[in-house]
Amino acid sequence: MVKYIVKRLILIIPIIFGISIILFTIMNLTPGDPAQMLIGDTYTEEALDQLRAELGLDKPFFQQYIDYIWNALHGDFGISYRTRNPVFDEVFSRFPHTVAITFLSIIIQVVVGVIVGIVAAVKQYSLLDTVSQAITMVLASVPDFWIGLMLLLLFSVKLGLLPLSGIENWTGYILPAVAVALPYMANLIRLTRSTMLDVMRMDYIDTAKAKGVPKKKIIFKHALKNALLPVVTLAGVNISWMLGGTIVIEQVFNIPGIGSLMITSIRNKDTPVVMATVMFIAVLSCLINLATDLIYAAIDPRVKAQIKG
Amino acid sequence: MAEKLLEIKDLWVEFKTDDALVHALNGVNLTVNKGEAYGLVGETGAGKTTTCKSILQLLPERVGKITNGEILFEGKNIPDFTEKELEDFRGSKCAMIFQDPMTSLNPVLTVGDQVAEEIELHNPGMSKEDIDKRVDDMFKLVGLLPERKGEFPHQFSGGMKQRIVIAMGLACQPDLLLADEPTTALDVTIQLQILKLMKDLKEQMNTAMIMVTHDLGIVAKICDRAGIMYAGEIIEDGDIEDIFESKYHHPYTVGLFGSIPDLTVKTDRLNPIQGLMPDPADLPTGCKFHPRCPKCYEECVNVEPKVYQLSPSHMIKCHLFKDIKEGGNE
Ligand SMILES: Nc1ncnc2c1ncn2[C@@H]1O[C@H](COP(=O)(O)OP(=O)(O)O)[C@@H](O)[C@H]1O
Ligand SMILES: [Mg+2]
Repeated sequence: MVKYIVKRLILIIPIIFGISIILFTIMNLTPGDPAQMLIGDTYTEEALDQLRAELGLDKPFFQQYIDYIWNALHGDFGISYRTRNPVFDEVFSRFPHTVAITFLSIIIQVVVGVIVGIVAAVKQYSLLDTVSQAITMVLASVPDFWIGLMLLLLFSVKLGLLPLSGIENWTGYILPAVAVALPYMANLIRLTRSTMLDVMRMDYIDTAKAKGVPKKKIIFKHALKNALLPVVTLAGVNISWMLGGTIVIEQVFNIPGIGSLMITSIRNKDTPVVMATVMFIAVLSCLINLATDLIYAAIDPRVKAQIKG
Repeated sequence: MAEKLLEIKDLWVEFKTDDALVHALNGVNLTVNKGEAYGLVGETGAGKTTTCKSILQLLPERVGKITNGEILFEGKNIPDFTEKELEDFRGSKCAMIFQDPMTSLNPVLTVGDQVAEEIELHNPGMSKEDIDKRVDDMFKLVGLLPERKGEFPHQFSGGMKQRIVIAMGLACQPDLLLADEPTTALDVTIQLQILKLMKDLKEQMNTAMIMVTHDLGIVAKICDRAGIMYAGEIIEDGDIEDIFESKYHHPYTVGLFGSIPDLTVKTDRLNPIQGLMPDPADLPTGCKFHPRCPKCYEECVNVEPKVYQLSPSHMIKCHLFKDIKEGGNE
């Protein structure tokens, strides 16, 4: 098991290298000169050259990349072109917001998604099942920024229960997390329901019934564990998406998260910040992927056997 | 006179699917006495599994429904049982072994847990050590190493899985065991081992059994009595001697025997029954076997045959036997 984890962790390295090369190339190919953007409208040629040299932009592309990687390996992710602050501080002051929204949101979507999914499956064709099916259909097809705006209108403007925008305390995370969660939650409800229905038709469920196992125990001991496997996978994928994809919601709720930083940085050709942000998301995604697989193995002995072997 | 354990009286079962109304059982009558092995023989789709599932009330919810009849176990009608009574009945009085051992064990629970669960359910208050010991005993009984009880189903072969399922079925020493083609999914050599095991266990524990099969050879080896099933009816029923030695048979039974190779007689080819089982969503009129019957005449097409008792133990549902008196000269 440890061997497997180490192997997976080592595999992250080439992935990060690959991403960094591609990203660095793209940033360099896109038109625009960061130095020119920084210096403003009135400048001398000398000042511009000096700024270029300061930012390392006068060196050949390859040299720039190697310098960047070399410094990054030593923990130095460079200075933001735009703000002149260290990139590390820039990124890490923003990540907690995005991570908080993501994890609050994943808890909401998994807890509600699994519970409603199970109830809908167990009480198939009941009123609750029909209603939840209809609601999930709507939620899955409506964009999250619209849901966010509606939630804002209801809870912040009309009822005044939750903050309108920005993060002053943790309550500021609630609405954005819910807005992000709802479409994903809709998919989790549908997935849980359909896998649960499939599992309940399996022969081993009949075997358990034939043994005299009570209905509750059949659902929670015999069926749920089997039905959770695809749910874990989907939840893992959702986290990765949300880490890079709460951009729109951050705009709606005016949250200084990683999404808004990424957009501003790309617009300003702030290569060091873009690089650090994307690579950080990539590493996190890899780790979440690994965690998903480990949870999978903990649930399914067949997967565990493969990992051990 | 043997004591009746299970008596199914005129049982009708339907499956209502999106495209059709499937008439799976159309008036099944059968009796299993205490300690006796009853063979239930028939082609795929005859309704054998449905019969077993009806006994344990395992028909799929909403889709499968008993529309008529009684299933009496020790005189009590099982369809009238409450949920609680059913839970107590299942596993402890009556257990079932399903057709495919590959899919009948839960992949995420250890095999030991799955056997222990049954013992625990039906012996409330039993200590953990006693349950453990009982599981070990059951494993030994079916020829498996108790040390392997912590492993998961995927670590066992098909034959071993079926042994585990049998251990599970017998763990609470039920009065009746429903074995639904317990060997069909297994290799021939393993089949023989499993059959021998079941026969030995039945004799040791005096468990009554319904042995579902499409193989008359298995019936001859294990069963005391047998019924031949066709399109949701028992069309012939009798002691094992009646089925194998009587000169009177339902034409379908004759056909079943005709499709077994006889190594002592030189024949050029087997004689399988012509045609296919009727579609249970669209059954023929009269005798359901008439479209395939070599002896079919006008009456068979229009009138459903009565059940004729050829001897106290032997009955046949076929027009050909209406002139043969009860207790006739077999
Ligand atoms: N869940 C179900 N839904 C619809 N039809 C079913 C279902 N289960 C069984 N049947 C039908 O009932 C008939 C009897 O099936 P079954 O009892 O499984 O036969 P056997 O076990 O003798 O092969 C078949 O025609 C089968 O298609
Ligand atoms: Mg069957």
